[in-house]
Amino acid sequence: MKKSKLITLIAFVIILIGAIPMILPFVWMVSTSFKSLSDTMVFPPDFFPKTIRWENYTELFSLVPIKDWFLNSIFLSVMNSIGVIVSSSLVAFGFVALNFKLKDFLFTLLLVTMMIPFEAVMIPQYILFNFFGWINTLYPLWVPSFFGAAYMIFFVRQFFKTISTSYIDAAKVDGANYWQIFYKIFIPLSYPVLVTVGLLTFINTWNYFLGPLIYLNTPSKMTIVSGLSFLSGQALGYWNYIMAGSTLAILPVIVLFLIAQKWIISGIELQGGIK
Amino acid sequence: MKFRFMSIFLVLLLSFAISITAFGKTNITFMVWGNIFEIQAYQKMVDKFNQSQKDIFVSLQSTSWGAYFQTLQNRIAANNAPDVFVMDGAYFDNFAKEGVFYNLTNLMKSVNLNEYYFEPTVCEYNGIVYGAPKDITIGGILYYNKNLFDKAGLSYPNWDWTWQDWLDAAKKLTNIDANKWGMYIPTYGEGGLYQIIWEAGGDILNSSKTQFTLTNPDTLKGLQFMYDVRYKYYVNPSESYMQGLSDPFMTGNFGTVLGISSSIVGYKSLPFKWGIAPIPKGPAGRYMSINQLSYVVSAQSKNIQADWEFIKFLIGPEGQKIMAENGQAIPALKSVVPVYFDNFPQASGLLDILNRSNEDPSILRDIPFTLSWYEWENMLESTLEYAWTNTMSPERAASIAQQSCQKILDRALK
Amino acid sequence: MNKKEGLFGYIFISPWIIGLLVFTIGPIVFSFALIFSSWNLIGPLKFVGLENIWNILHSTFFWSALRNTAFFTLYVPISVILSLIVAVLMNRIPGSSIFRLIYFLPSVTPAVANAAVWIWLLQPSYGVVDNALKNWFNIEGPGWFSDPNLYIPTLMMISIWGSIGYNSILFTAGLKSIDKSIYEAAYLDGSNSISTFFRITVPLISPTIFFVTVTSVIWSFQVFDLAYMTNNGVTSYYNITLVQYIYQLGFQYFHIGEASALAWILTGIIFLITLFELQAEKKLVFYQ
Repeated sequence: MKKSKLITLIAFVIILIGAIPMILPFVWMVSTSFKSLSDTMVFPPDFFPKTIRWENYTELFSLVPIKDWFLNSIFLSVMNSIGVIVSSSLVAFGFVALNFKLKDFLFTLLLVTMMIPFEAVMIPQYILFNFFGWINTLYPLWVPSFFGAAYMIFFVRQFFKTISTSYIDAAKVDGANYWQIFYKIFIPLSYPVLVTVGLLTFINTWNYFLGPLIYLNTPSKMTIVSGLSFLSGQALGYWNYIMAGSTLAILPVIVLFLIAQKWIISGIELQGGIK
Repeated sequence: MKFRFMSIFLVLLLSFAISITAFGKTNITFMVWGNIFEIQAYQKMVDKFNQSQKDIFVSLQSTSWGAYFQTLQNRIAANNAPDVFVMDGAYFDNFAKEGVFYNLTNLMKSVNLNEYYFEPTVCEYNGIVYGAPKDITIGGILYYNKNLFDKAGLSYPNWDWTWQDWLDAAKKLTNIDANKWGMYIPTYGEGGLYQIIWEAGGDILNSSKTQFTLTNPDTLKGLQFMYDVRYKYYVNPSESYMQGLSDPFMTGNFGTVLGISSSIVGYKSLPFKWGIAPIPKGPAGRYMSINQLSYVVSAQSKNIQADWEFIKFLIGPEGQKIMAENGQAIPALKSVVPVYFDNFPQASGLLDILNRSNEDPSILRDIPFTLSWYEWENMLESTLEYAWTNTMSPERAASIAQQSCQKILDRALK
Repeated sequence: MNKKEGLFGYIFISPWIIGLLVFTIGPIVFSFALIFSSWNLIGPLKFVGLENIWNILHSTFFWSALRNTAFFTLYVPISVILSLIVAVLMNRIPGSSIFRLIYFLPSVTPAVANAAVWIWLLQPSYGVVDNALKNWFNIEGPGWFSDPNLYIPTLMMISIWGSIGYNSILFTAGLKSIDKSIYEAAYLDGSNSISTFFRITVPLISPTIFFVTVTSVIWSFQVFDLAYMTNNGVTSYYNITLVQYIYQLGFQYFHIGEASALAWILTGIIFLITLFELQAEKKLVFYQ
């Protein structure tokens, strides 16, 4: 018993030391959000502001349409999370539990779509969305998620593959159809994984920088993360405002992370009740 | 619930009203890059124009600087280019060559170009006018920190200064232990590299802009000066020291910094006193650069007449005045230039430079834009970097740059 | 396999198939056609044969970028191992939910803040690390970002730092899906922590390890933001990466055909590595 306590202590110390570099940029961001513009330019840089400048936050609200940006971000992140959870679990189930001719070929193709750099397909994709009449709308930024995200399909597939085939066989004997096997066995068993998919999709969408700038033509239609780039120009970045905006933008993500984490960790108990 | 219904109703009504007013009008799109303040200034111009028009309605579209050219390329490829947009010299020739712009030569004949700063490098390609002058940027001007000069008991830089005076002052201003530096000469073309080379008697390209002249002895003299201030006199920090410093002058640690005039807008509320002087005179004379942005019309546009009406407003006294009042750029229309400086009394040294250039235009030279300028400029900067980090002599770095840049240009001109 | 099962298989994957046909295939085919074309955005594609590929293979920047990127990719195994260790350690310490959040922060703080902090740490004249080296060991600190030999290792270090939190969340989700009864059985057998880790945890989590490795390799070959932030977009032979070169060729230098050719060469390289990884999956990954 003593030995395991020692191991826990060592683990704690290691994790604690590792946490220092991890939290630095966050502290930097919050501290810069309270600096005056000229304090952000001091050299060598000061980690902490000389005087706390709360006005960065109030002025930010009058400078930029930050409420619109938040609403857009929330809308896109929620839609993408729903879209990706639903579509990726369906598709991953198809790839794991069922056998069909082109399965291996199609799965390899799925992986290939992840390998092509975005830069290579950006122009043709823009032409396509323009053809749909989707430019300067939010559609290009959420509709595709309902048709599966390769990365998340792959992720869910890895977990579905660990679910024993004996469950499927037993369910078949009981007369269950594929749909029932999917939502009565696979979904409950992979609860932590699906929460993770939702969380990561939400955050990836929240932080997606380039897409909104390319597909939308007006600052007010932007998301919070890409909108903040309108505070930085060719010559000068208003880093105090940008960091104040970034601090506000990160808060919902932190809250969501803490909630989702609880679900992920308690996942095993929930599924215990089902078996 | 009721309130929400009401607000939706109002929004619908409002957008209906807007579409009614826009109905029957010729709609054109105008795309710009900018930060939120620049976009607000553009919006003022657009609103003013729209109020004055019965038949034309302009809608402003904007993106941030980092995404502008990518977005523009996407839109051109999708045959959805904005009718009027802003261009800079870096890409102008390439776009013009590919036929992206509408030929403005005939329309521009009605504009008296003598009233403007007009840069053929950013408005013309092969003798055809594609762009209307928007603003100007002067490069290689000397920003100086008055507080540091006062503390060292030095008199401010003036029109008599030579490289030697500059160096002497810089030595007195430098205190490495206190992180104080006498000067900084930027290593990118427009910020200081081109001007130092010109002042040494050298050049980047030959007069027909087909051959690089980087290994010419006078060009090398300029490069050697930039090397010496770093590694012989230690009055200018090394490039690895500069990592993470986006604008050295704003730190207040630099006595003199060469730079471009578009930085002024960020210096308005600096916590120290500052001024602008001309670049100190070199062995072959005094040279700064003049550059500009232009308004262009897309070749895909279907309403050239409306586009032209709008451009006439943008480059006319009204449009230029709004731009100058907002302090975002120095207007290209000479008569409106003083309006800009009302905002920036500390920048009066620059107005002085502009006034002198009216008497002696030779002190302002064009940026050597060519096809594939961006590609060779990147190559030039990254190759000369070996000299600025002291891994190579300036001669050696210049001869490598000469070869690599020439290869890029040859291919572009082929 | 029976016919009905096959039909259901296609039905379940149909969302992805439809998305592929509507959104993805067209752009992919177009971009593939660009390999053999010269295109100025306006006119039709002009067939130029293998010229683009020839130009890429004869560009010194390509070979530098390939070498840099391949070297950079070596951070992946280090990151995977550290992430797994962090995920396992997190499971047994108090306050783990706060620590998981802290480790995840680099994935959500803005890239500019991340870059600013690393420059603050590593800058040669005032940087915290170089100052410590000087004061404690009397070593003149190197220019982490400007020394050609150190640039890629520095990027690797930053990437490991930035990926541990993200990856360990993936591992945590995997660890939480392992049936606790298996551990209890091992505990009753008298197995200690280290051997439990290798005998039970690693095999059971191997599907996630496989996933994290494959996707991290793909991402590492596509590194862009981090490189762009730390070299200010001015590239030299020692700091250019493949995707940054694609970006320059396509969006800054107007060689769209060459950019596509390079993108597909990159895709080919990643594909070969992934095929190799898929072979390894059959031998090393344990599915129930």
